[in-house]
Amino acid sequence: MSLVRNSSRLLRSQLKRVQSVPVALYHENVVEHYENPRNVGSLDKKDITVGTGLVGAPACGDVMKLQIKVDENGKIIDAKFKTFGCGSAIASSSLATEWVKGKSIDEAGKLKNTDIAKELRLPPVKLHCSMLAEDAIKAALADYKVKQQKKD
Amino acid sequence: MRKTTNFASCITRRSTYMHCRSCTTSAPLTHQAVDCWNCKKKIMHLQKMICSDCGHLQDVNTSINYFDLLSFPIKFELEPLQLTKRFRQLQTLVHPDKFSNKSDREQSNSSDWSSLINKAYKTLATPVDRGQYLLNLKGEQMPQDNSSLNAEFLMNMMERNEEVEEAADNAVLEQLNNQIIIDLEKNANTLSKHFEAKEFENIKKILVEMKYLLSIQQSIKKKQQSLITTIS
Repeated sequence: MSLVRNSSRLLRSQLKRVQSVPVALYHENVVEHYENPRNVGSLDKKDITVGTGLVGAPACGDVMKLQIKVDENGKIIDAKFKTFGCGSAIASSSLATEWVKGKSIDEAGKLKNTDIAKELRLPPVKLHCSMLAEDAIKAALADYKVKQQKKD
Repeated sequence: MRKTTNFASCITRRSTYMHCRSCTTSAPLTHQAVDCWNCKKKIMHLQKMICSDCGHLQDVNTSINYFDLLSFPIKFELEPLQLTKRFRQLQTLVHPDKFSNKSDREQSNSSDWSSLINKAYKTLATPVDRGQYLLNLKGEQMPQDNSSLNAEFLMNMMERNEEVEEAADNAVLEQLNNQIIIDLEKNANTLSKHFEAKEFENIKKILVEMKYLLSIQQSIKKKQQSLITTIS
């Protein structure tokens, strides 16, 4: 009698444990960017046509560097990134560099983290990664503007 | 009957060196008491684990903090060996193996207490987790946004991450890991005095730095693993 009771209790507790294990599934878009990241690398920080954004997420220890090269017409002609963090952070910054290429600095400033999150189908727990990418773009644009002002 | 006496005397022995942290008296702790679900007698409030009268294991007190549970004063500094000793003492009292012949309620309580004690031990045993836990107890939160990180710090973290990426062999990785261990310890050692002085902004900065260092340490371990698998 107690054997049946014990084994059903054991089964119930095991089921409870299985249900409480979080299952993390990366969307294929994220995996694609993670395995084939675009635009990994660096641009010359000292070049006045280059804006560098360096941001971090204290909650998870991620660090992200995003650089843009702007031509005389205010158009972003090149972008590179380097990210140390989770797959979602890497994918977010990779996607961000893809998107800003060919855009004007005004258009790039309008890029929202929600666009990135939607494209990568990021779950709620990873939304801050797309926010980090948006922050990185803004920081790079701000740095470029400061350098341009110093020039004048 | 003998078992009950052992539990009761164990509680009495421990209660002579525990003192009430929420009031100033050291008299027998009958206030904030709870009734034993089995014999209905009042139990002292501090750990409320075992009824000193009938020896039955009580339901988990979810409001207890980890320091109180393991009988440590609520401050950052603690002696790791002492922590392990207290952890083992507590687990001895509540371990599920000891309750396999007891009532369902006690068996369930035993597993709950055991989990809570494990969680408390793991949190207090790791300096960065202990620091964050103590910070939260003091009503402070870790920063969630980017503004708390300065450019110099981020550049430093970037460089250290790149060093790991570029490391060619295990010897270099070991060296990088050793440096991280040194830096983590240096940071942990300053936390005690910052907590005493209630310098919460400094504490948060240090804890964030420790998290970044631990993140780099994870990368080192991952890379070391991958080097092992490629060799074999």
